[in-house]
Amino acid sequence: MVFLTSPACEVNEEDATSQGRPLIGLLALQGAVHAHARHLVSCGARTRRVRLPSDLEGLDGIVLPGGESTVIAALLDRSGLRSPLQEHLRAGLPVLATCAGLILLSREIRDPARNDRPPLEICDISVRRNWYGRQIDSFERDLLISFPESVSMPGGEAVFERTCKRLPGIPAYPSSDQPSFRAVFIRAPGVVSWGEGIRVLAWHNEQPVMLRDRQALMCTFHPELTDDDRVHRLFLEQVAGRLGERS
Amino acid sequence: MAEAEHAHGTTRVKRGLAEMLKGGVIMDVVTAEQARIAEDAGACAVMALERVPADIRRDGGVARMSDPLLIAEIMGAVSIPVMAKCRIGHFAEAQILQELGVDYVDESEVLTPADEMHHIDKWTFTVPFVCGAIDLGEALRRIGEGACLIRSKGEAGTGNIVEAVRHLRAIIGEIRRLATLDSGELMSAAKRLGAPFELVTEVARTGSLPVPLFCAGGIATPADTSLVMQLGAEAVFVGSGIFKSSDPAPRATAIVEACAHYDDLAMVMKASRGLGAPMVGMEMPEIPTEDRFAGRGW
Repeated sequence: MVFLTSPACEVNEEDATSQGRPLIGLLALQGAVHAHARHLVSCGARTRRVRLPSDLEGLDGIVLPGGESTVIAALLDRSGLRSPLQEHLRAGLPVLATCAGLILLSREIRDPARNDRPPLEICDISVRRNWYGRQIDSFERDLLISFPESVSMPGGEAVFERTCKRLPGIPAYPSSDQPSFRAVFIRAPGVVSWGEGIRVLAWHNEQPVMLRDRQALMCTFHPELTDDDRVHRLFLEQVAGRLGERS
Repeated sequence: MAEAEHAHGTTRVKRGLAEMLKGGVIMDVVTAEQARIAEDAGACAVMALERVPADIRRDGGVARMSDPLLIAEIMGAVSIPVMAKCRIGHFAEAQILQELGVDYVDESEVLTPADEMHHIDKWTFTVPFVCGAIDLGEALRRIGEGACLIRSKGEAGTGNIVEAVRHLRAIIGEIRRLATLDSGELMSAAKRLGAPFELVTEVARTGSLPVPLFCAGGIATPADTSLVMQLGAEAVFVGSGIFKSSDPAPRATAIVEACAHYDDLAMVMKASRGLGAPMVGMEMPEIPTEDRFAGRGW
């Protein structure tokens, strides 16, 4: 099989060196799947494409990528994936959702498209599509994100050691020196209301653009489109946290 | 160079939308009604046109950018991205399409070229461009001019996949060959390809194009879709293949299904059943060389 854009991030679930690494599913019905895989693999995770209900078994976390939310939602229904995915998410499966993925995860879409299907209703947020307008209104900008110390600097070697194994004695970066995050917004949605259990990690124009709760990390922008891997590392920390609780 | 704190139309923003379209089907539509059918079937974008390529081929004459009023109607009818075509080298048509607010411009060989020497300087635009290519040299020349997405040309409006397969294999095969060269061989490779040296070096290093590669030209069935996705295309454009078939809506849905599950042949098989007659299609020898669209572009 040829995967032109990202040969190095081919599904590496069976990798012999993968013992003990978290297995992250990538919802791969439509959208920017490989860009996420690139970061996850370089941060030490294993990845698996998720297109059918059986692909959900044994995952430690899942990514709902950007793409066209109406298309992904339609294919979720047609492939019989909606209910099993909802069950796994309701059972607490950690999830990283970007752009269209965030729309899917929401409780309510305020401006449903003509052919819209309901979202998965996992996180207590309400959204509007194409908040900033069409593609010519898409933009990138520097964001101030309050990352925890463990992921405060863009990654390099041994990222997996820091984020997944939580080895003692790894020096933390000083949080006061956190560089800004270059955030790419592509026909991005807006979060228009959010519940009490949701923490806002980044704002743009008084709108939350990055949010989290115990289970989910959500961005209206695309952290997979730059080389900065801090969002993915933060997500893998959440995954590691849940693995720690269960063991 | 420091990046502006807040910027529109950057390479990342423009290529980013192409990333979002991966794994999807972009459908040619000529009315708002067709656009809704395409959207309901699961198209990830539509290409707004006055005539599909099969009709352009049949009618002959000069084929131009579509009426902005028609494109605007289609933009108003759907929530997915809307693309539109301009003629090769016709930067004024492209400027008008940007003014209109389309999400992607296709500088397309299906329309009659406006410039037989030059393509549009696409770096100067905020709106992203997709361009066709028949081989790696052409793909890299277009990327060098600022294209953010490359599609095979295929032979549009024929319902015949053979040319798209030829172009995909040419592009992907050349990429593989480049990746085997040592650095001292890359300049003559660039000369042979007629491509910018820096891009040749980048492809040799990464083993892939710097922008996504989609397939266009002649896709008519779910099996065609699976074929080109397995060959390495990352999404597909379907032109005449849907609305020139006997029953467009189920065929559109089936092609979307086959694209999402392209390497799960049980799913592709299910999607292929009971779709009625595909578009009739043409054999290549029926089309004189001078009437072929794929030869347009320089």
